[in-house]
Amino acid sequence: MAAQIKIFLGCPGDVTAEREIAYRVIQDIQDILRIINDNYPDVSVPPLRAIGWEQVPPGVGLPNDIILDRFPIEESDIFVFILWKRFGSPPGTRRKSESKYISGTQEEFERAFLRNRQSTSGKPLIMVYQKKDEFSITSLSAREIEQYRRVVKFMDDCGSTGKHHVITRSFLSKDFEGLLRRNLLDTILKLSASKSSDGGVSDKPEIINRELSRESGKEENPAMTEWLTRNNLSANPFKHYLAENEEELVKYYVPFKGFSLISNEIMSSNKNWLFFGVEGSGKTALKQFISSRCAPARRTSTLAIPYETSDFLEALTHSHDVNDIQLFVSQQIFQHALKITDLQAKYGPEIKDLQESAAIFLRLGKLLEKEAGYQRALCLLDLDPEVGEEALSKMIDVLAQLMALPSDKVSFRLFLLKSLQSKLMRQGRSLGRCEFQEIHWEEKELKELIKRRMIYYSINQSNPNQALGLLYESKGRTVPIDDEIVRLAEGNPRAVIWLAHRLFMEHCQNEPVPLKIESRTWDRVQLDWLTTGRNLILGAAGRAETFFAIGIDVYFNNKPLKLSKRSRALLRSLVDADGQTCTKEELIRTGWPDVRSEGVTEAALRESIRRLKSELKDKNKIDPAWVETQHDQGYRLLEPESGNEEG
Amino acid sequence: MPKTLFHTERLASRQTLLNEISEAMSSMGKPITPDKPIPPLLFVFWGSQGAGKTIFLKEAEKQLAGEPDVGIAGFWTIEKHNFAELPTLILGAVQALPTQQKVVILDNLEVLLEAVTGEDFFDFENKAILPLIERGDTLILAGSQIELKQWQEYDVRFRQCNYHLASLSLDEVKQMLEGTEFDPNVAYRLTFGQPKMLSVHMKEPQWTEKEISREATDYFLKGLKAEVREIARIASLVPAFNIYVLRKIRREDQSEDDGLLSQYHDHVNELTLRGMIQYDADLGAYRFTDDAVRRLLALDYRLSNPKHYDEAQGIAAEYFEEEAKGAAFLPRLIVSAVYHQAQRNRKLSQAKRGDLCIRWIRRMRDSWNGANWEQVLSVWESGLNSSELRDELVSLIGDKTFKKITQMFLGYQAEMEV
Repeated sequence: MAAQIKIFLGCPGDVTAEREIAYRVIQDIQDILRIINDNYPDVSVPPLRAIGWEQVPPGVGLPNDIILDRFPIEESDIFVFILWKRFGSPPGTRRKSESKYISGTQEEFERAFLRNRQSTSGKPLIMVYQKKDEFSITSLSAREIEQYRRVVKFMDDCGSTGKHHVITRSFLSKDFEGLLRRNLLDTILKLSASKSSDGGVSDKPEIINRELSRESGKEENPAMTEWLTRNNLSANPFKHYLAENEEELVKYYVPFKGFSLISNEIMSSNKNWLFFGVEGSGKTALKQFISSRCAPARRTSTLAIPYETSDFLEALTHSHDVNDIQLFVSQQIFQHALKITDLQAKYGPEIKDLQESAAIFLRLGKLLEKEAGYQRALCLLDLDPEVGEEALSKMIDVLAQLMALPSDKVSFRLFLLKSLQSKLMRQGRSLGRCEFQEIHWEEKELKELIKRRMIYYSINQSNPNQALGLLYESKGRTVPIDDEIVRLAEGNPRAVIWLAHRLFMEHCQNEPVPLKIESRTWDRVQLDWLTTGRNLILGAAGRAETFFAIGIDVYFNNKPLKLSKRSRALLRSLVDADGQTCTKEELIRTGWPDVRSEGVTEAALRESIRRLKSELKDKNKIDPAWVETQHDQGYRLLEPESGNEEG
Repeated sequence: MPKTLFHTERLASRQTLLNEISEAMSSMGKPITPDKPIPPLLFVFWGSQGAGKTIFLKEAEKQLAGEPDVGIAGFWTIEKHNFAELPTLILGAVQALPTQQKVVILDNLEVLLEAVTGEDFFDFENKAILPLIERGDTLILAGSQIELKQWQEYDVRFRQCNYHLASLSLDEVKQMLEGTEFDPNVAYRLTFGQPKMLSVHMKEPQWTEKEISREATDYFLKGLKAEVREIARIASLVPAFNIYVLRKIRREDQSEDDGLLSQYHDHVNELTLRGMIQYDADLGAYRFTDDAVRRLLALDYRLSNPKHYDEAQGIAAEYFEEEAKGAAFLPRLIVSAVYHQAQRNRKLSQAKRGDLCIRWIRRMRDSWNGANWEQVLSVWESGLNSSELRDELVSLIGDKTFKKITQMFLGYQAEMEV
């Protein structure tokens, strides 16, 4: 048994009060444990030791470097990480220039996380706390906003689909002490119990719990599981936003607009079909859907042969010559098809005799028809853009050649990033037998996507939840949450799922978790989306310059603007008008709410607009030309340039 | 601002539905073309108890049996059979038919959902419905108390259509009572066209609206706990309601008790399970699936608790007035707001009520700049896509006022375009 339970406290400078509380709580628990140890001979809980930068003597260097040298985080049992608005010192101010971490806080967390994942003991156990006391984002400097953005991004990464998945808790200052005491005491007792039972070698409570919950299909966050159950849902319908992770996707699959009209042709035509879409537009999901519809179990006359980027990479490593790669790919497809239809043992060896792709496809078509009754085979491939420019380029060349082969039994269904469209189109001579289809979503389909997931994950199948609105308690305020999510998602299904998932996650950060989602939670999700999520999910497609408003704040390019009260009210009106002209009367009403409109002259309005433009320019470095005068009518905000076209 | 609004639920009358079935029969087996809607192969006719589903299915059976080269592969009342054996029996019956086109009729499909996991339902979908749809030569007509949207096979979802069996319109009541001694106008006034209550009226022609509405309350709320009955009755006073407005009417809106909120949701869920109410995602509110049932319950409440009724309408009017102060969600709120303004002044004459509504709209006009008037008009003219609600609104404020308000909205729309 370890001589001590070491608790490492990691937190930036804006949560010093919580840090002090944490020390006090650890001391309290220590006192309680001592009483238990003294009075109950059967119970033996090791003493606690709190570790933090306070233990570094002054003037000996950067506290993090010293503390991590003296007390390696890897040796701690519990890592308590507390965050609010700051994520630690930015690079170049206090960090060593060669450090790969942007702050000491990040280094502490990353090292703890890495250790947790690598160790067999599952230690250190990681407890992440986010302070949720309200603050006005407009009161923050640009650097502070950058810090806060890092916090938001970090918390996102801690979610179930993020790269640092750990259990997190949010708190208000007033509740922190009680919350930490409960959580720490519980963790310490579990740690010491598991140590006593097996000598402290193989205990990994957090990891075991996580794996168990995954196995049973339950949510990993118990608070969320409970909340979902109370709302008649068996699991979080938006947990996965990558189709690869969704085994049951076909049971609630929603296709893009216009798919149903061409679906039969996609499944039964001998032409090649190329589907183009931006990231997150549902290419892989479509591939999975076609694959399931043409699976052998369905006994249709079409066989789907899924082909993966990894297979292609194998072909690339096999040879650099395009013709050789093409041959290798054809052989792989042949082998895959035989495997799916259980014909491998009988016909697998004959591939050695076939040395041309056309001959391979011809033979494959005949075999499938003769032996398994298939009229056609569809080779399905979605290219993973992560493989790099050079590999992609080669793959496109090979595919173009394969698709040009004369075969009436084997055809391709390719699911490609829109940015590859022009590259492929340059292969014009090879694409005579191809149909092109752009994956395009409209609001109706995106709302259906929410609905189908909600229905599928309903506990009681006869009373299915059909909309997120059902989980929303407006307290009298109208917030059409499904519409709002679809509007923000800009036609991207992955964005819809991300937003809905974020809404659930944010809601379940509350303690206790209220039965229904509240409007302020939605406000926070919107802020997360506009400051971080949008760029994360939509990437280049989401970077159009634009104004938007949340609550009383107005933002440009994801940054809150510094404006006087009247300028903000006027700009807010212009933002709300969504590119339409705001009449002078409307602007006067919103700019001077306490004055009868007749009492405000047009000259006063002109002067206020002039001041707004100057504040945009001087305080926020924004071109005042965004605000456009509409002669004799009023003013309007220019429409942002469309950034939604990739490539 | 919302860009889309309420999709039109296909609230068709009985004869129109029979025509839809004939049309689907005639398109069966023909290739799907992009210029036409995809013809359904599975019709689900759903409606609350007493909506006349079984009678309608029988009518459809009779009509289709007379068609050339159409065979009926049985009228299957689901609960009378062993669920596990049913797919084989149905597929066998279809297989045995020599006709080119076949029809399978399934009544009370919702009983398959009694197992909470939906196991029976999805099993039936896989083993019976999907193979029938894949045949392409068989039309399935089904009756259900609830709308069925939980199909898990894409091909089923793709070829399935839910049709709501709403109550009868005045014209349909007239048609139904033609040649009898019953006055259709009286029958409609007493029953709002609700088929079950029409049959009650024909049995007990001397009953007044008080007795009919009391009977309706007993019939539709039978078997519910007292608390759920009370929620259903109060909900009937608000055509588009949320939990908050129910709590407000019961003066429980200030409570922070999560348990209380949970109870409300449980009660609302129970009514949803019954198929009595439904969440309208486009509207962001719950609604009765049949406005005739709602009107009967509301009428009974008004006649038995006039004081409470007026108080409730006053509270609802205040709530929707407050909500309608912004332009963004006006399309969702305008009908309810005017409806409750009129209800609040129920004791005044129709003309006076209408006049007060017009004044209220004028007063609110300044806060509606930037509203989507096209949507407002669409929703207003359709009565939230409910002819019953529209009729009720017209009876409250008068046809003249209704049209005048339409003109006012058109004017506001024109102002904005200028």
